[in-house]
Amino acid sequence: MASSSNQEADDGRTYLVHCLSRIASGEKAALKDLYDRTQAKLFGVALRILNDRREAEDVLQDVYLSVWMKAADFDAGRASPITWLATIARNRSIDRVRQIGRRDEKDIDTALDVADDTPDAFAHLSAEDDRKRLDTCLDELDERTGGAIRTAFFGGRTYQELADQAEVPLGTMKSLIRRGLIKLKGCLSQ
Amino acid sequence: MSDLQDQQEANPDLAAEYVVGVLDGAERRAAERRMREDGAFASSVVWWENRLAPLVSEIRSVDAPAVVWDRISDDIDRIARVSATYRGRSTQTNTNTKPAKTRGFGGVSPIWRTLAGASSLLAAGALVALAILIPPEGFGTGANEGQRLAARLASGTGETFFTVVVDLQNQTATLIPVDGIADQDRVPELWLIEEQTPAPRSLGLLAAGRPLTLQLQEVGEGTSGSTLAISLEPQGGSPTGAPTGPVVATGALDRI
Repeated sequence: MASSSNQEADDGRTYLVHCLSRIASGEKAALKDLYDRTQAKLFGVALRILNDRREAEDVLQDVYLSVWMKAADFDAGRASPITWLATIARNRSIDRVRQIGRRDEKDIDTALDVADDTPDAFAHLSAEDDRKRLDTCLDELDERTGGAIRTAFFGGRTYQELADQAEVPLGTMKSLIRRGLIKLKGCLSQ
Repeated sequence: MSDLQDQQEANPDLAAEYVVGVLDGAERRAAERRMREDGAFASSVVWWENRLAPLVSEIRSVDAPAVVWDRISDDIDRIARVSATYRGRSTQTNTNTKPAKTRGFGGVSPIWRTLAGASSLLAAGALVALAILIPPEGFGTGANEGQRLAARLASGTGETFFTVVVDLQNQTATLIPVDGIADQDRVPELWLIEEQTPAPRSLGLLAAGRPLTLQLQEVGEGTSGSTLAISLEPQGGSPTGAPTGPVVATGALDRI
């Protein structure tokens, strides 16, 4: 099971690396192919952070234009194509949300904090071993710390926003997460 | 507070904080500057990105509306047009200089990529979609009189290039260059490239501390499909009346 999943991950990765190299040589059809395979996940990432469909659409447009322009910079030795794409989408979304401010806090937690358990192409594209290790290490943190790190990651939330949400002083939230990150680093480095 | 806590407060893992996403805007810019200057720090950011990436698989996928791809496709065609225009001009001015080894880009000038080394801006991944930050609702519809909107145009790494103040009442957009836009001896020049008349028209220089005000009627209505582009030119502006330096930013005017 695990080996077939790893095989799928390898195939998916290889395919996307190939897509990116075709994009780097100016093949628009390759960008469309990459878009079709990855847009739903990246839109989900942007939507989760921005909580506003129009903003998320604008960011998504911007992300694929960046991919078009920067595909030649992609270095398969440094990151998987999925990680590279998700990182661009997260960074653009976080920058945008810092710029425009949070929209409508209410429905975020109820609707979107739920993890997506449905396996999709992306799930297979993330190597099984990496996922297990991260899960194990996050589980080693106390629940509050692990929860804060996840919430921060999914929503791109600042210390201040996290502190406000949890109704704790800013300093408390900072030290909670900073301590958590140091422990997490130790665990992930093993 | 315990000693351990004090120590961690004093030495937070900035790379981890950047990747997790807890930093505010100014702190993110500072971290990105450090990534460019400090290789070990940049590697540390990549390490965290790779380690935390599996969390992305937990985020629910949502299909984007089909119109998003249409917009991307239009933008790419527009970029190709600007590149082609630029190449046309460039070969006119430099009699016989062929661009060095072109790498693809579908027969279109590879200027967008090969000039990366020539400009610190492009090296920072700087391509700016100007129109994205201008409100898609358009101007004049439901806008309060005298309302001003401010936006910033940022590079691919989020470095701010311009602050744009849009005055809805006077139908003007003022572009205020922030920092880092000019390199040692070149200044940014703004161009309007209309769909029907492909020769770029200069809208003026964007010098630091010298904001440029555009009349929106002039560049907006009736010029749908036009493109704004910014090139780096010698002090005083392009000597030929056409872009001669690297194009560092482009954006469509469709949504004005």
